[in-house]
Amino acid sequence: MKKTNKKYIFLIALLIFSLVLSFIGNVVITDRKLTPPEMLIKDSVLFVVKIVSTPFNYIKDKASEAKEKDNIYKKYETIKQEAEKIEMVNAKNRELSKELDEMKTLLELNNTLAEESYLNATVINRNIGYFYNTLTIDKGKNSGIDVNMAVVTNKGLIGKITKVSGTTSVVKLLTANDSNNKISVKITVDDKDVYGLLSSYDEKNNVYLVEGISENIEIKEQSLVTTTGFSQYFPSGVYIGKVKGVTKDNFDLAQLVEVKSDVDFASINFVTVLKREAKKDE
Amino acid sequence: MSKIIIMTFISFILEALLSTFFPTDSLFNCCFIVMTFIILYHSLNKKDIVIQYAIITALIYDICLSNTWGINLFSFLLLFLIIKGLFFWLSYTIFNVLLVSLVVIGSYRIIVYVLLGLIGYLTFDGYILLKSIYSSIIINIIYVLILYTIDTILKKYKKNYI
Repeated sequence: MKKTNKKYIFLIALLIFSLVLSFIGNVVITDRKLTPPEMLIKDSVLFVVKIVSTPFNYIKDKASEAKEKDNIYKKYETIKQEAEKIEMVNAKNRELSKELDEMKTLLELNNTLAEESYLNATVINRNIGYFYNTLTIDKGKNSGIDVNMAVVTNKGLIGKITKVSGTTSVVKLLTANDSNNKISVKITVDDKDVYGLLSSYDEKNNVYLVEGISENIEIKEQSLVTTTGFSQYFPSGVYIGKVKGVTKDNFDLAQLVEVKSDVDFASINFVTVLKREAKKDE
Repeated sequence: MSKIIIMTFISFILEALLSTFFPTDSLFNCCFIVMTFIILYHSLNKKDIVIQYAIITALIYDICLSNTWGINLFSFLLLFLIIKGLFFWLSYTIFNVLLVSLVVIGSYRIIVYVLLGLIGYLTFDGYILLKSIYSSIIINIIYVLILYTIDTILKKYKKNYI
């Protein structure tokens, strides 16, 4: 009798565990929208966190400012050199955008995947819970942010918005090894674009892995990797990183390209959200 | 009751705050809420309050900080059982609190990692799990020592303190 009871208890425990797992799986993996009570709790608590952290962040900023003052002359020289080139780049940019507009008119294109506006935000908390690879930023629905918008830093693409409340948003980083998170990318080799899929992140070597590239294409080291704009979410031409090396996949059929990002994912403090403009004339 | 709220609030704020101060690949990954749990478990006489505390804290933590639902709720309840089991055999001394803290940090990371692995959120990699555990030890042990000291001092000078 006791043995049968134990069996039942074990079965019930297993059933409960499976139910809990499927519930958690459904909540964590699917990019569901936050409910109004969740938004309210999240916004209120993070508002308090933001207020409390303000003086500490101020001190931190001042400390880093003081540290940066040591290298100020060196930076000035570099910026001076860059500034001399900027007029030339601006002129070229103006010319290119003019050409692009003309071509769009010619082809009757009302919307391209490269059109976006920018919104800067500050990181409120970073990767709490260690394994989630997420950031929380201080801008949300009220600032026009929506789910699936691309997020970048000045050193390249870092991820996309997965959850939005009134005043905060959650950014899922590209370092999260999520099978639903594949991004279409292009590698520029000698003025030609080679297309592939950014599929995962190798945490040990700090590189992204790009798959789906045919064996007979030679990929050079230091080639630029950017987004294609083919996906529904990421605009085209967003910088991701540079090719670090090339290996073969498990079946020796395709190349696996290792891409090194310039972004330091461990200490991101400020980000920019690329708000997609759905420009439609008709 | 005020003690529970104050301790939890401070741990919560500190955990969120320090996450932006230290790089995520440093040796200072905080799980202060869980550490607070160890001190509160022993200083509260009614153990059912600790369960309620675990459930409420886990829910707020899930919604506000980890952006998930249920993972911390499940793991906090399991941690409660682990802490209960450990303090059944061990007395409340500084050495034992440190020992329990080490077990709890390891268990917490393992439980969350296994849950996320089972639902397919991440792929199993022993190196990442090990890194998550050893990078959490230093700062959490320091925090639990501070909490233990404050708790002992308050107990000494305040008779009716909860």
